[in-house]
Amino acid sequence: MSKTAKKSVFVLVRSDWQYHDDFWSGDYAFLRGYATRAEAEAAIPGQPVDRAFGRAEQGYMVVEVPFPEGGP
Amino acid sequence: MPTFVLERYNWRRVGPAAWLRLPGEVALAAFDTAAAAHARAAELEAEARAVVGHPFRCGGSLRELTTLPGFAFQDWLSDVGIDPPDPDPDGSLPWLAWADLYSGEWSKSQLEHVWEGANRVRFHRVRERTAAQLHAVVRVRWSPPMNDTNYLPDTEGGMPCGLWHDRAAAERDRDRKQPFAADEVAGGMEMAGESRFHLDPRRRVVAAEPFAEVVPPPPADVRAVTHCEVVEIERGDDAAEPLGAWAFVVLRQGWDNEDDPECGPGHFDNDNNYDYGARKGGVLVRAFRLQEDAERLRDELEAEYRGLANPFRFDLPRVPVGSDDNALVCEWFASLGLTPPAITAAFSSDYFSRRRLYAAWWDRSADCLTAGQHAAIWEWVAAARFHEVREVPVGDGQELSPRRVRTLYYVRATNWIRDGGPNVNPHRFLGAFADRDRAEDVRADADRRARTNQTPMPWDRSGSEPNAWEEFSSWAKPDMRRHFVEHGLITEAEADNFVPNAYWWDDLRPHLRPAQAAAFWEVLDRVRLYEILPLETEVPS
Repeated sequence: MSKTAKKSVFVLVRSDWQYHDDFWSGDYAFLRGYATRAEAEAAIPGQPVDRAFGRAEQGYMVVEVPFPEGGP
Repeated sequence: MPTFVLERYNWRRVGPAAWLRLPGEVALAAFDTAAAAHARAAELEAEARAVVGHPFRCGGSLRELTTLPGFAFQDWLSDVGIDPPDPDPDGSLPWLAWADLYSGEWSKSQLEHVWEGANRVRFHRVRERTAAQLHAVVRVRWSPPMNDTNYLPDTEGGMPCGLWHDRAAAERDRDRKQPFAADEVAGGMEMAGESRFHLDPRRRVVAAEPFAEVVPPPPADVRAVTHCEVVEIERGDDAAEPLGAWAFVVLRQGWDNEDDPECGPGHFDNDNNYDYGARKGGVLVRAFRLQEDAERLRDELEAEYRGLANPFRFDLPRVPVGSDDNALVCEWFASLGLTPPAITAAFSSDYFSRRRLYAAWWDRSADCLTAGQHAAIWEWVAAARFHEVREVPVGDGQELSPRRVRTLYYVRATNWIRDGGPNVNPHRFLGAFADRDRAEDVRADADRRARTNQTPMPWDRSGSEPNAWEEFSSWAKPDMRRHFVEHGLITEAEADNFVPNAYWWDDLRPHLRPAQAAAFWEVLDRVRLYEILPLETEVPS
C-alpha cells in the first residue's frame, strides 16, 4: 500500500444521449471540478425531466480523476 | 414573534369566467399584526369577488361551493327572496346558467348573502406563523409540449433540490445550479433538434395571478429564464429539534390546465404520471424532521381536498374512462349502488370526452353520494395522491470552508479511441494538472503511444456511420493520395479513388517503417486521440 494518500479531484459530468435508429450515441459535457465527491454531487441541479417519447435522455455523474501533482 | 401570513387559496382560472380550487395555498405577504393582515385580506377578497361576479363560477357541484346540504342552501337563498333554479330534465340544478342569467338583478345585499352561503368559495385567509422558516432551492422543469412549440415550465413549483436555514447560502446554491440547469436544457434542445424554440413562461405567470389580467413576459432564450429559484418553506414540527442531513417535505403536485390536447377547461394534467422518483415536481408545503409527522400532514391535506374536489377533473392513473371494458366499470358502480354515465358509441374511443362525461356525472351526483360511496370512488380513482412526502437534503452541512476557483488542465481520451464508443468508456481521464505544459506532455505522450496500434477510423467497423474524410483530415483527397504514394503507403496504381479505411490500416500497420507511420498520421490531422480540457475547479483556499 502506498504511504502517500491518493490525490484526486472530482469532475461533474453531464451525459447527453440521443437515440438513433440502431444505437445510442451522445456526448459528454464536463462542467466543473471539485475537491470532494460530495461537493460535486451537491452541485447537480436536480435530475432532468424525461422527454417526450424518450427521444433523448440526460443525466449527471461524478468522475474521480487522479491529481498527480498533489491534492487541491 | 409571530408573523401573520396572508395566503390565497390555490384558485386557478379555467376559462373566461370560471375558476376552480386546486389543493393548497399560495403565500402572498407577511404582516407583523393580525389586524393589518386581515385588512389587506378583506381588500383582496373584495377585489377577487368583483372579478368573479358570483360564486357559482367557482365549481361544478354544490359540494364545491358550500358546506350546506342542497335543501338548506336553497332555504338560505329563499331567506332573501332568491328563487333557486328549476331542475333540468335529468333532475340536476343548473346553478351556473341560472346565476349567470339572474345575478345581475340581485341587490348588493342579496349578492352578499349568496356569497356568505357559498362558504367554500373563499379566496384568501390569514394564518399565524410561529414556525421556523427554511429556504428551499427548487428546479423549475421546462419541457417540450406535444405539439412542437416553445418549451413550457411547471405551472407551479418544481423539483426540490435542497433545504437551507440560511437564505444567503440558499441563494449561493441557486446561483451555482442555475447555469448548469440552463446548459442542460440547452443541450437537450440541441439533441432533439429543437434549438430554434424558446422558453415560454406564460402559463406559470398566468397561473400565479388567477384574478388579474397579467401581461406575461415574452418567450426567451434558454439562458435568460429561471431554472432554479429560492422559495420559503416552514417547519411543520418543533424547530427546537434540529434537522438531520435529510428532511421530509410534504409536496403537493402542480397541475396544468392548458396546452395539452387532453386537458380542456376545468380538467387538469401534469407530467408527473410520466415521471418518477425525484424527477417529479411539486410545491413545497412543510418540512419535518420525522417521516411519520410528514405523512400525517400529507394524509390530512389529502382528506381535506378530497372532501370538496371532483376526482375526474384530474388525470390520475386509475381514472377508469380510458378503459374499453365499460361493463366492468358498470359492474363496479353497481356494487356501490350507483349508475355510471352512459357511454354511447360516440364516446367509446374518445378518452377526453369520456373523462368529461365522468366529471359531469360527478358534478351532478356528488351531493347525493354517501360518505362510503364518496370514499370508494376516490380510492378507486386516485391511487396517486395530490400530496406526497419527499426526502430532501438539508444543505447546511455542505457549506464548506471558502473555495477558490483555479483552472486545472484535464487530459482525457477522446471518443476517437476504439473502445466501443462513448457509451462504453465515456470519460477516461489520465489526470488533472495545474501546469498546462505538464498536461500537454502527458497528452502528447499518450497520443504517441496510442498511434502505434490505434486505428484512426473506428467507425468503419460499425457500418453505421458514413466515413466522411473531412472528419479525419483537412487535406484534399488528391493531395493525400500523392503524399501516400510519395511515402510508399500505396502504389500509383492504387491511388485512383483511394480513401484509407480501418481494414487497410490494420493490414498495413505491421509492415510500416516509423517514417511511413508518421507520414500517415501527418495527413490525419483532425484525429485527436487525447485532448486537454481546461476546467474550472473549486479547491480549498
